[in-house]
Amino acid sequence: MRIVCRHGHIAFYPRYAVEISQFVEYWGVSLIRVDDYFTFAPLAELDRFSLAGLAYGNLTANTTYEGRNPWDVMRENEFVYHIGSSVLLPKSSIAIQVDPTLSSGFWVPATTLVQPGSRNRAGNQILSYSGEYNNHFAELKVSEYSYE
Amino acid sequence: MSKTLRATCEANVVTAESVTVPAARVLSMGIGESEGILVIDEERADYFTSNASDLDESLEAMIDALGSAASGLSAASSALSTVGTTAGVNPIVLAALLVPISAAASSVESAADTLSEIKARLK
Repeated sequence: MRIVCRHGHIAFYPRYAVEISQFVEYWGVSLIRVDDYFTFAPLAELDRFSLAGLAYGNLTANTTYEGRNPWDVMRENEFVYHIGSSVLLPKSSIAIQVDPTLSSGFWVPATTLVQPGSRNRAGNQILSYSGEYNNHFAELKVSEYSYE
Repeated sequence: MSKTLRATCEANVVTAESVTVPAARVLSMGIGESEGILVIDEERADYFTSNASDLDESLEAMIDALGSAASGLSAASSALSTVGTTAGVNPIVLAALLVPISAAASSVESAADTLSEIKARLK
């Protein structure tokens, strides 16, 4: 199953339906289908536009913006999804450092999912990444990180 | 792709979803109270409203003014005719004086009628 984090929004692209059910069962989370991907319930409810001063998810939007997808709006508002508490947070509030190890050409994070907004050893803030999740090993192999 | 929301505007302040939208660009004068739509496309937000009611009021005022002008010209023509006849002005000379006034009154009435027709089929 491919996992794609874009500007703090996390989407799951299973090749087989069983991958979602296995993930949900293993991690005890709920995933909602949106278009061609699955995502966490709070992210599934997000609009693809925001009005400054109006609620956007659990936060108040600080910019007026319309995008093709919710992650465009999250980028403009500088919000990221906090996996542990299931809420949106300003990216500036994330103070987590990650130090993924390189293995066979992939980055393997210590935690299964990398918290968007975390910083690597060089201090760059990870806002996007994509990788392949292996249900058997409950392991994510990240092929690409992006800091925007 | 864009998002369209119902919105209101007064004194160039646009409100949508109960919040003011300072980023909105008002594509009309935006002074009077109006209802319209807010179209958001990426970072651009444009407010549109219909100016038909403003145009309707303007036409009404112009039609009234033209009607008054036509009536005034007709009254002036009648008065001149009365005065001229009483004063013994040659009817041929008097008619020559009154014809332009009557023609002007007709033109003004015609213009008022044209505006009334336009007002009746405002889009």
